[in-house]
Amino acid sequence: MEPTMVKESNKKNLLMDSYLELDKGERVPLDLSVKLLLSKDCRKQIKMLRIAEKASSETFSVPVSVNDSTIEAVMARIAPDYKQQAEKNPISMIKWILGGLVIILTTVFFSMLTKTVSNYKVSIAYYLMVAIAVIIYASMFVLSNMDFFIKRINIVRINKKASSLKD
Amino acid sequence: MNKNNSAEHTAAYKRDNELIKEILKGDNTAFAELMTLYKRRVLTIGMSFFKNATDAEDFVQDVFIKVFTKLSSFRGESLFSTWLTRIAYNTAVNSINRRLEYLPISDETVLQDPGVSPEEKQIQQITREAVKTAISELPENYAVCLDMYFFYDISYAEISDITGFPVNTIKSHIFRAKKILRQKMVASGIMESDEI
Repeated sequence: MEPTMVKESNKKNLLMDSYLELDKGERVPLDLSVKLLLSKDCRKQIKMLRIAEKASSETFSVPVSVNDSTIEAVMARIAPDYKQQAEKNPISMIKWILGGLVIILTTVFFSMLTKTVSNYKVSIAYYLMVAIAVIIYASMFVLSNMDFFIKRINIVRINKKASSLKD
Repeated sequence: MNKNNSAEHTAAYKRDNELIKEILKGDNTAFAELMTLYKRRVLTIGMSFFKNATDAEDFVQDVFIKVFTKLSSFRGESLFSTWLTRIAYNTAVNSINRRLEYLPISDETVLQDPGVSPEEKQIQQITREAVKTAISELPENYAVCLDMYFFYDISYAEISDITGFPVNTIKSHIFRAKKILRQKMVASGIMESDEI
């Protein structure tokens, strides 16, 4: 290797060593940042090292199922009524779906029936009733699953903030 | 929280704190949710110290019961994951069932890669090999420090706080491991790829 190339390689190694000394998420000093940015090899290596660190720790951040036997055993010890609490929602999803289907089917069925009968007062009264039923249905669905929606909104908000911080 | 925060740490910190608030208000389902996020980590620590699945599962239960009873003392000065790892480490070290030698993660077969791309799989493999090589050159009891840094995502100072080893010693061992990782990545040719 030519002396200039050796010198260049040593310089790169020194820069990379300074980078490798840094702690997790530690801010890279400005002068070092500039020097690293100017070297294509260093940039590439840093990118790969970051991916390596992230990929190696990600294996342990994968959540397990809430029905995991160990989790159920712990919950049974700390909160014997946990199962009932978790299943507390008084109306099951199937009942919600069936309720929605009944509303849709009666609307369709009624419109088919009233095709021949042209009493528009009856039609208006009926459609008003359907509208009120839909509003009540939707409101009750949201209210009885409020906990789920709040958690979802919080997760989306946190993820948005995290990605904006990343940028 | 540690001053060296990444975006992922900030997000995890917020998510965990929300869950902890709910638990302290009496919502037990939030604790189950918290366990789903960290069971894998605690189980892996258990496998390293106990080397059999039954003892490791019992260990996971003990750790989470401890976490639940001590949760009100968590002040949020570190990430919850770090606090949890500290409890898990101390529980394992003080357990009468634990095996004498710590089995590093890089030696383990317990690792299951969760649907990662082939490139990431290769990177994970290289990282494990690098950590394994670095560990083989270290006094045995420092293996846990490397695992904590590379696999449990814990900073130098926090590793020192958990294990009681001097921070500079930890730093130099991890530095050595990172150098090996860099060399291995260069040698594998993965650094040449622009795809990843």
